[in-house]
Amino acid sequence: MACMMLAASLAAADEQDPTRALVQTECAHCHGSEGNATPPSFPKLAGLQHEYLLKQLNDYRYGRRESATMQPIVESLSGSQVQDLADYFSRQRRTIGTPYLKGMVPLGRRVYHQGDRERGVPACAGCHRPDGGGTDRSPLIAGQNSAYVLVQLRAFHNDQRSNDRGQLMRTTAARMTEQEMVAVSEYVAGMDVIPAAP
Amino acid sequence: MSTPLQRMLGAALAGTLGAGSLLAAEEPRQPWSPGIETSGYEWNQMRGEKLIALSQQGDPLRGEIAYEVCKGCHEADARGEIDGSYPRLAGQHATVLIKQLTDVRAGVRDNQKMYPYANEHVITPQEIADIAIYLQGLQAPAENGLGSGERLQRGDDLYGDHCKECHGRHGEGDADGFYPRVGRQHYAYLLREARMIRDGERRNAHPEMVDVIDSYSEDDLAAVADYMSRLPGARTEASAKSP
Repeated sequence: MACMMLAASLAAADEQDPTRALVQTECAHCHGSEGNATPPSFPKLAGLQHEYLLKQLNDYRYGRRESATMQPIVESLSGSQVQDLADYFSRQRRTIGTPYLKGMVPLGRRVYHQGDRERGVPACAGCHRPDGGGTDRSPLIAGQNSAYVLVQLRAFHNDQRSNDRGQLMRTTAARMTEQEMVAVSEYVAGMDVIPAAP
Repeated sequence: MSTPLQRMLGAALAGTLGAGSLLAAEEPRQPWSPGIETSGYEWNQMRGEKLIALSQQGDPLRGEIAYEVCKGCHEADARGEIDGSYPRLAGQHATVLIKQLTDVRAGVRDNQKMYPYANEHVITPQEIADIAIYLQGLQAPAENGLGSGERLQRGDDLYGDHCKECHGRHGEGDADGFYPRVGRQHYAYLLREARMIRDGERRNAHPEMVDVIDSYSEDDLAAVADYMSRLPGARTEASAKSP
């Protein structure tokens, strides 16, 4: 009974807050209500930089980032709804993730913080920061789901994702080995998540 | 007849197995421009974005933001790497940084490793000026890569005869002359670049420097690089008092 009342009051709250209602109908199924997606192949959106979220959503809309799932969803949204969603997810607190291949974490840590000098792989820490928190130019990576990160690294590596600034991620991923991409994905998933400023 | 789920799993699996066999993305290739190997070569030609960047007022706060893309190799405090794989940039003259960066962008100094991270789609000419003034103001961290220390007297002699006039008694370089600060730069980097300059592989080199070190043996290059890596890189209180 209490449970039903809570559900009813939550539904009422959603009616009052159109963004939360939008999240429930359009986003939560894959990305979670607070943007901490549990299926490992879906990205966590919680805590991502507002600018980054906005850019990705608009890139889906205009086909600069390809996804048969995301494009129709974004196309159905108004410009201000996209703004509201970017705003909403950027304010959520990201949860810590889980590395599945724990044996890969030491290599991932080394690549993340040192790169590879011989092959000219820059340290991920340079742009994404040593704590994985990212900047206005480079997204938060700490705690991100490893399977999602790996799929994105491979897509950059193979030139299948091409909405990165100045081809920076395509160049970097192309210089990485498959093993390094797996290792970095596992390492970032388990990084501590530094709470964003309130 | 496969179900949608089976097809999805199959596609995911194919993606996993196929990833390694797909061709890696082609990175932006550095252009090539004529350099020291070409007759009529003019050192440090003032044109294009070098001229633009040198005439801009650099802003160190904007420079700190734009420097982000360099940190993955040159490190957050611009100390480079002790093993000389990447040079120290902290405390280098802004003019020198602008010259070298624009030479790489123009394809007069060959560096394919760096080019994709430094081209015009990543750093604007204004940001070149911003980054340069930001780095010039950074304090160089104490530790840098040194040589063996075995032939420092030879290095001292060579430096005094051939290098001091441009690079300064303390290895401080000369901002107006575009001569780099060499003091407390990483030894292995100094040695590598000096060797390339001697051998005509550093295509934006100063022709007079090539002439001067043309006859240097490998041992001499190592001796002078070792000596330079130990210079303070600036007038110190102690050196200011000595004659």
